[in-house]
Amino acid sequence: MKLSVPYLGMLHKAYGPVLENAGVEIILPPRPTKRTLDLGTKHAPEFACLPFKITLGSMIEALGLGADSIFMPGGWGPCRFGYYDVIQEQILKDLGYQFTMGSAKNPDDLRDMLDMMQRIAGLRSKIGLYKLFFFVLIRMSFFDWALKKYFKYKPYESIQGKADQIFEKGVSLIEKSLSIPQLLKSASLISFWFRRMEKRNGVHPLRVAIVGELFTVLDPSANMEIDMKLARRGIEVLKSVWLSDWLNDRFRFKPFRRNQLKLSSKYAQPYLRFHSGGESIESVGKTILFKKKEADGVIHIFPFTCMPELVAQTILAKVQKDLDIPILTLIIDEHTAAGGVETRLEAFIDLLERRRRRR
Amino acid sequence: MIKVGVPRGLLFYRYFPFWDTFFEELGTEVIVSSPTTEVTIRQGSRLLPSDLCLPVKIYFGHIESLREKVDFLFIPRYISTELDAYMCPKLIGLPDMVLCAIDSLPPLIDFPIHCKAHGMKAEKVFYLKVGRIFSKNKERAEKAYSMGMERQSRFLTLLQFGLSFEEALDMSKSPAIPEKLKEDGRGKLGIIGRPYYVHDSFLRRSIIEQVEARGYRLLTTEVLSYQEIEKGVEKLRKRVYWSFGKEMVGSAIRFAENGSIKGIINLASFGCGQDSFNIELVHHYTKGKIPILSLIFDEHLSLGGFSTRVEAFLEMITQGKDRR
Repeated sequence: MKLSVPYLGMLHKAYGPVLENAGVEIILPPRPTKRTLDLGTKHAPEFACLPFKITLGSMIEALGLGADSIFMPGGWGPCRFGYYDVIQEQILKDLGYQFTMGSAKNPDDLRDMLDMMQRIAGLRSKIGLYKLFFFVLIRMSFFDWALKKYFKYKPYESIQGKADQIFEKGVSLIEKSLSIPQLLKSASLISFWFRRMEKRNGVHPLRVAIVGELFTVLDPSANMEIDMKLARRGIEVLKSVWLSDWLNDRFRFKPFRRNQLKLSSKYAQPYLRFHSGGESIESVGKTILFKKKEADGVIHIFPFTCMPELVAQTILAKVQKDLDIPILTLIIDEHTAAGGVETRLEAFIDLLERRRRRR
Repeated sequence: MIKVGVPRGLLFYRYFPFWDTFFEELGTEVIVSSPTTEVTIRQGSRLLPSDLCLPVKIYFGHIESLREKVDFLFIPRYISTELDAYMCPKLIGLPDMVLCAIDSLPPLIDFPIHCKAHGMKAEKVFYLKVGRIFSKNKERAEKAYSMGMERQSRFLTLLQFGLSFEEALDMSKSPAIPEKLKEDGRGKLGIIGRPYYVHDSFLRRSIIEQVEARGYRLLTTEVLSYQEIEKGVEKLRKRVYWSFGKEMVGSAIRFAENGSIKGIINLASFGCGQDSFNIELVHHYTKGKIPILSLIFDEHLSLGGFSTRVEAFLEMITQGKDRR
């Protein structure tokens, strides 16, 4: 059994060592590149969204490396993500690949999800599986936590690259922690390093929030690393969705963390009263929330033809006017060039800086 | 009399007979915007981000032409009409998009219909709620609802007989239902596309006329009953969870199985998220069984482009028939 899971942000770091420890062989294809996307685009329907194409390309690469099972959770609409697994399996089987596609009937349901994971990973004990699954989720939240810390401290570093060093060291430390006490110990170490880092005084960094579709917000292959680019320019980055929160909304592994979907929909009420799939309500709700938290600007990023985010885009146009918050819309597809995105980003930052000075 | 405005777009092409009777029974005047033109598209496109699909832009264009003439705008939020299928996310967010994109609107009637969450009775609950706006009398609303339902089922039966949208809309007004149309021995072609593409004469251009001039009949997805479409999608590994998507895939599979249908025309909107997946399913399940022509429209569509391709497609089918 050689399992492969498509990339999504830092997810592979969370499940990799844990599953390998449990005796599952994992095939990790190289991080998605232009080649991956080209592979995906070649075989995907023309108007399929970018995450579909990237994950499809990634699957082809993994199958080329010898994977024989692929995990893609699936779902039940109204966003297209729920149908990815079926279409991808169909395309790959038509291409002649032999493999099993692991997808849950209803991935929001814990039992259904775990049944499928048991099948695909070939694990025996059910209790062990529950433990393993929740441990992966908890690890995921530590990775997200580390990245949040990084975004918070990065603008204040006085030695160039110090925060990046700490972050990288921290991530590899969390990666190696295979029990909850170890995780907690690593976390306190990371937080100690960040606190002790030499900081510049009197800096008031710009705050820019990235909202939008989950995959493009999280995965560096889809968002041209705009989060890191912003951070390196000394800007504090906020994000509307985190993978651990998204999972927590479904599986409640962090009892004290608020349900982010409900929180966003509370804030989005005056504009978007019903969740119209995907992360639309999070994009709207969190934009309003970030305005309250004094963000200077918002970047709305989503793949071309994404249905829910197009609803959000229409609504954000009004939010932008009403709340006086600049919004940059980035629509990503396979033809988007990093250079073009960078230029628009620069112009946007210039605008935010000018607004700051005027006040 | 209170005037209720119904934009001629999106679900108008599926539910209008119901709405028409329902609002008339409630003692209101129904005002429908005039058919789509270039101006409608231009007006709609100005209000919305450029990446939204054309049918939504057309809908906004219709609202723009209606909003000053009516007391209420009827823009229901259809979330789901079946227990296991959603509408398009754009339809779910439609009233919110309207409120955000257009200023100075009359009050909207925008209650949600969510059968997936509240069971099939949600539809009736919705209409009774709408009825309460216009009449305190609950019985009157119930009567309007059942009258509307009758008309709607007559309308759907007529569409199943193969009548066009306009004919069915007219004829469903009278309670008498004509005998089933006789098979006239003409060859048949299927057109799979949402009702709001196929019945909008601006979007479908002259496809119907062209097909008929060649001696074929064009069947829409509505000639198949709900049960037949269900039978079509039975084979799929996973049910399509969009109502119109299911209709498209199910009817394409049924058309391909039915030997008397010679070809399928797929009318689709540029950048439609759902159709990109649905057409993939259609191709997979009808491979080698039936020729399919995909016509994709956007706001820059020209009359010539479609007709040349339809002509070539018809030519291919006719020649293929002769050879056999």
